[in-house]
Amino acid sequence: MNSRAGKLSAIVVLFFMMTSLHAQTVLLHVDRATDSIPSKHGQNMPRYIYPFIKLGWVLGPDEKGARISYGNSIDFAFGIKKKYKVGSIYSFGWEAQLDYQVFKMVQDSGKIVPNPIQNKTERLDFSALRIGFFNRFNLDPDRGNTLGTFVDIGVSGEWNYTVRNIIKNDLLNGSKVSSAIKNQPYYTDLNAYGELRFGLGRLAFYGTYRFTDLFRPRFNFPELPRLIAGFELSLGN
Amino acid sequence: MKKHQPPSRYLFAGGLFLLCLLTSLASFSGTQEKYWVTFKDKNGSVFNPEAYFDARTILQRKQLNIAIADSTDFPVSGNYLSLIEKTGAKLSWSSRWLNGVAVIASPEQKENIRKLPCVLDVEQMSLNATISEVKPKTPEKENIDLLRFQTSRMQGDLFKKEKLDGTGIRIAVFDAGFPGVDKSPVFKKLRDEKKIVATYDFVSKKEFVYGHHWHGCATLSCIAGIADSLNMGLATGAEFLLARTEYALREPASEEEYWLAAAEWADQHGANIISSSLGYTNKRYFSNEMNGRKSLVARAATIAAQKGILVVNAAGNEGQEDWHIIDTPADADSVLAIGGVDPERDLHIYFSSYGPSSDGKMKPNLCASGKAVVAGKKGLKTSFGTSFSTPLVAGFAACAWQSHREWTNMDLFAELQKSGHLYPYFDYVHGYGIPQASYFLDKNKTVDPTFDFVIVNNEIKVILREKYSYTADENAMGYSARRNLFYKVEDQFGRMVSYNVLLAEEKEVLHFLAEDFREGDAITVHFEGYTSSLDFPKLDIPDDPIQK
Repeated sequence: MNSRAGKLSAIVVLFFMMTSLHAQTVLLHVDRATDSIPSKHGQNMPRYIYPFIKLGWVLGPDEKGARISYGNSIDFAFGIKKKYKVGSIYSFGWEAQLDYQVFKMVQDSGKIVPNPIQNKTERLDFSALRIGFFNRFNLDPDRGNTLGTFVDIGVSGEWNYTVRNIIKNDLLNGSKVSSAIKNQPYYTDLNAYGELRFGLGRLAFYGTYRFTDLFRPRFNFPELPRLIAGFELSLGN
Repeated sequence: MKKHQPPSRYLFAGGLFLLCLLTSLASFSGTQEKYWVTFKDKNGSVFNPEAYFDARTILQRKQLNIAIADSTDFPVSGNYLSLIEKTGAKLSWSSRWLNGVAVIASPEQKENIRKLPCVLDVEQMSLNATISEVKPKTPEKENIDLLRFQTSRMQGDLFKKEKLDGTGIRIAVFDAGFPGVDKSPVFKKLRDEKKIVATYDFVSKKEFVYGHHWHGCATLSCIAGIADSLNMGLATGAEFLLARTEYALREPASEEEYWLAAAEWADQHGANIISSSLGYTNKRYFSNEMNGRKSLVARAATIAAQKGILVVNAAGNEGQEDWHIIDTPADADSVLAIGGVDPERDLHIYFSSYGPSSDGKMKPNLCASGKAVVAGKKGLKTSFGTSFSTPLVAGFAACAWQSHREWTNMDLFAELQKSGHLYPYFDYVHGYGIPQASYFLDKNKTVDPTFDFVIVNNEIKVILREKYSYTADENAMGYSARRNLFYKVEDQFGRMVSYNVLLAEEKEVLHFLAEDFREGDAITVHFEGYTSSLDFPKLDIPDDPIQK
């Protein structure tokens, strides 16, 4: 039963209680005060709150001891954002996303992060919940019912709810072993980012810069690259 | 030192993602929108009404005391259209009534058009039309009882007895295609008597309309179809103009412009009635814009009415949707908006859109069966929707107009409302109810009171008169008129607060407490053709036993 039908049923029951002492069959009851509330939203609503997905690649310079494999080190996220329009040029909004960053570690002799052991392959996966705030500047104030062309400048904070060190090796007997090591003490729980987006309708190009370190200072680890760039696709209508 | 792993999986996933993004970007960068361009005047336009109009149109205008031609009949200035074309925009249909043209243009072209000195306004107009048909959850077989009911509930037999079948009336039907009309036995009489006088496909710009979506075949059958000697609609003797104005359901980008162009075409070809089972809702408009003045189709429908055409349009099937209210052009003041009735219950069918219009006009105006036996591509089928209520009433209107050819279209509009089985009672789902043929054939018919208001101390009762008290047999379900009691409450400003329908199961059918109402409120009750109101200031009368 949909919400309108449910509401109607409740009204019918209430109607019975209030107006009649007899068991009459109510075939139709419309209370205009409750049943005729006009919608406040039009067809542009999907441009105000919409889901999105994004995919980016780690681009920033790596440091000795924490070399990464570029191209294999990625950022994938999906989430939802909501915009509040102030004027035709300026809006602001928030976004929440589940973010998944993969750093594919190069297994060389100078490797330090997360340990000096060389494996066949190794990566660090950061799974995080990220909440952000952004300012949106539209470049086409007469855009109509589209997202238009825009520039977003925002900041966000994330909580790493899981960090996994995944290693793969070949054993002497020819079998392969894969291990996922969690709950390690060396990573930080919280991080902060700055983000810049350039949007063309549903498509946006984004770049993020991480202000904070991924590793706790006491471990003296070289830092992983801070810069990520990629594409974001809005999934609204 | 180990080599970097080949970036296989992630790059492949990234490549796919990029492909999606580039596709999206391509669609964005190539965006061209459809706009409606309104001109300031018709400078340089020339017009010869005798050459343009069908002789019927001129005759009708003379009969209705309407100028044979006024400025709205002059074509859009050819010079202005050339200026638009020079911007690189693509021209679509133009409207002489609204003095404008639909164009497909990029944002830059749109800005250039806006700057032209002859241009008054540029409006974006991409939107979807809704064909007012509801697909039943389980298909139903052909139903003879229903087939009889869809016309008999309007007392169609009385028209038939008086040989009123819409002869002499020309009806334009706007729909998404008419496949089968050129072959189906349901339309044999129309074909044999050459009653289809003109056709045009405004989407494909050609005369052939007997393809595409079957919906038009179904709506036409509800006006003039005959199945095994049973009339599916009432205007089997009328003439028809068939216009394809919409894409099929699966193609969402249909536009209002076709409706506009078809309305002018119908006027050119002497249409008396337009029957349109199409409506426009939330793809372009807010619900508070359903005021009959905002949409292009509502404005065009209003002009059609000014030209002497009775416009009959479906109220819409949004009753259970978020939109909920009537669509456009049913919102226009001069358009007869038709709601749907459940034939088993003889009252509002669940999907039929609710009134009033956003500016408070009483809508829908009338209603008819929202479930009907119709002609499909392959034989008969049962379908649901105000799509079918509308042509049923359009056919009824043709017969009524045939009976009183001296009436103007708006005279007919008013008389049709008075013929509603609830009149003078109305509410926002039934309007004045289902039109009744007897009204046009016996104007002296009187109605006896069927109930009384009884006021005792603090209580208000509605008591059915003995003759009309309930009996179980009369209340059986089926395709027959039922003993529904309608009542509504209005406040001191005449605004409807609530409206209701009860099954009249007991003699004391309604019972209220006075403190539930305020001074100035009024209750209006309708039962078995009789309507009466009680105004609440009259409650000051102490222990008044009966007040009619």
